[in-house]
Amino acid sequence: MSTLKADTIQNTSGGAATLTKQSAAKAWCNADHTTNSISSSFNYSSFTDINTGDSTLAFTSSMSGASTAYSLNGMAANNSASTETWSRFYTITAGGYSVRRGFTTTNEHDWSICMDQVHGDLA
Amino acid sequence: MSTILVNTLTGTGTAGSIAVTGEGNSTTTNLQQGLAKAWLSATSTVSFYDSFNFSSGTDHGTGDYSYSLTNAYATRTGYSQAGAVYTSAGGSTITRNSSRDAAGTVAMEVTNAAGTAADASKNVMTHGDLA
Repeated sequence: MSTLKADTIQNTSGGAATLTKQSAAKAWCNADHTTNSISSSFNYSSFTDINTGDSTLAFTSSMSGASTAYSLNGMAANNSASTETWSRFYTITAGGYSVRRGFTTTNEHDWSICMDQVHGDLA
Repeated sequence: MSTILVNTLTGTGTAGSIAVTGEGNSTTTNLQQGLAKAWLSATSTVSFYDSFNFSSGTDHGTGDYSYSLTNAYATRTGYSQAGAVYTSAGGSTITRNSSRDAAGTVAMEVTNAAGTAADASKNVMTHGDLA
């Protein structure tokens, strides 16, 4: 058993250290669109209501680029399997993104549990 | 190139908080908060193909599943969940089930293209702060 105690880990040049065969998420959130607030999150600075089911979220530390520079997954919670939910991202920048969420095919809705997860490289 | 071989990493200020430099060298990110705390790949019934930090699953009916965490999250709204259905049936979706989820329970429902509950294999991952 060995334990390394440190507050910050860098590579020998002061840059990002490599985690062997692993990658950590750079942001995640659990937001409430009924109150326009973030319940819990990592690396998010704001949640802005645009319209019903339509919101914009901003990162505290930006990603390295826009739409193709990182992986973004979203899900909303529902309590009825007969009204399946969806999330659709429509503007993605290095500093954040806009997302629409709803149910069935075209109905947009303010869900109380909106969840996103981000993997990729930070700026 | 240097490599540290170690079994456990612990913060000196706060044991559960270690900062690592981001890829662009301009910011830092928190190592613990970025790690997935639980994930599963499960069958259309309820058994695991593979998983991390889950102890067992319950099949509540067609397309209706919940899984117990070995180490629970701090709160019900303290984690983010994502997932995908593993099926050849087009139009299938997976949703977090807000009538069954809890700090120690990850719940999901699967529906088919008609919006009807359906059994299917699924992959789910969660990120958040553990209790």
